[in-house]
Amino acid sequence: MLKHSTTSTAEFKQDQAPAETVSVLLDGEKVDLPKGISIAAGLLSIGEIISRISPSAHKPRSPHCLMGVCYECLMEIDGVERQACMTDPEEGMVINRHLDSKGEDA
Amino acid sequence: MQTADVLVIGGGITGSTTALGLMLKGAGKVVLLDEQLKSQRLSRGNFGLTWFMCKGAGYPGYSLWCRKAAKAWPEFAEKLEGESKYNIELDWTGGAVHAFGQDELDGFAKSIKTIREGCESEGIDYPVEILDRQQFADLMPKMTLGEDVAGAMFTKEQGHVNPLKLLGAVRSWFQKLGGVYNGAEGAKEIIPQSNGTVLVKTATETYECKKLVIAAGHGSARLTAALGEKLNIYPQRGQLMVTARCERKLDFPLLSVRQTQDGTYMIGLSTENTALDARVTADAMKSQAANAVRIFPELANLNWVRAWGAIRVMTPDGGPIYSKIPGHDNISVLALHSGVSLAPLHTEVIAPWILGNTTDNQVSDFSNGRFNA
Repeated sequence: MLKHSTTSTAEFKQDQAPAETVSVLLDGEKVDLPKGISIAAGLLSIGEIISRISPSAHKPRSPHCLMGVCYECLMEIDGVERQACMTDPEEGMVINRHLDSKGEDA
Repeated sequence: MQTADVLVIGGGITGSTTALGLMLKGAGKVVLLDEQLKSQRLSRGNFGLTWFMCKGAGYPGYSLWCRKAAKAWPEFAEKLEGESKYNIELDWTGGAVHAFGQDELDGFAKSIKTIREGCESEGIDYPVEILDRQQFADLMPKMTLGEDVAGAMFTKEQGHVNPLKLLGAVRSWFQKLGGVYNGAEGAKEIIPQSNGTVLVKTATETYECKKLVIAAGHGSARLTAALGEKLNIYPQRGQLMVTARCERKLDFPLLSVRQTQDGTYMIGLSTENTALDARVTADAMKSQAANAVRIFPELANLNWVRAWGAIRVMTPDGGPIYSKIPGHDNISVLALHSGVSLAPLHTEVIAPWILGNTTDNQVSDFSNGRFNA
């Protein structure tokens, strides 16, 4: 598994702690995401910069446009490949980012 | 007033590859004008196939021409990449056309036999084979065929490129050789002079040239009409759809499905007569998506991210038009829809033909006059 908890979490911290969170299963681990913003934005806010490993270039990608255009935040959300920037988190969602396919160093 | 030995109107793939050939053949000062018309841009909307297989069924001259172009492609690409330093993403790994059902496959076999006989009588090989379902599947170990696929026709001697990179590479090499490229400049008026030169007026400039090439897509018809020549072309729309980048699994293109080197699947090849309307329609997308999923069911699970329509130049028999305007032997017109596949011939054969140094007597088969019965 690629190390995806990066050192540069500060840039994406929210101004204040979110009022409400939902609990999701992210790559097999339970995490809390802010309610009311997209999964992609929520992941960035907790310091998860990498959204997936590109299946063709085998390099890590990050959410880029956050408005449904770039498809860099595709991840498996409740079993379907979806854009995390266009999907709001819900309690109990299962999210897999495909971080262990073939990383940059594989 | 600016001067040129040869002025080329139209900076798409056909105009650019021809302009490149003119520089390589020592035509002197070559100026390439590109109007960059946003509404058409034929060279930016195509599928990128370099293809000869089954082109020109019932039209032996065109089959032969396409086969010659394919034979010239690998060497052309090597030189182009070497000189331009562009990677045009050429995969010369073959190409296939799927068949649904045995009848369609049998039809392919008949058609190939006819075209092969035509080519071989002119001393050109025609290396296309019929594959049954299992043989076809064996060529694509990572893809699963839909149950309706009976087999395919296949050749190893064609492939695909990134058409945008091709256009960039050709224009780059043209300019490195000293060719002049003037973008966003469209020809408004062509005025032949009694001294044998031609004046071309644009919105901002007048050019005087010794020879003129008109390769302006559907803009060409307006320009030749003013010279008294009706160009026999009509617009045909094609629509394309692309996916997000996926693992590379499909190593060679099919006529209707290909996967680029960066992992994007493209599907397309619709044909509609809708004048110059380049919009996409849900009907065409549904129809080509259904066709693609029938070939490769797994495509149904992918994220399809974009679609677009583009306009081809079509002729009544599908073949290209290479014509000199009657009464004006110094004005040539090129009108065709297979600019990528035919690129090497435009550089190596059509450019000398424009200069009056014809080495291939087949060019005369493709005059605009063939439609004026």
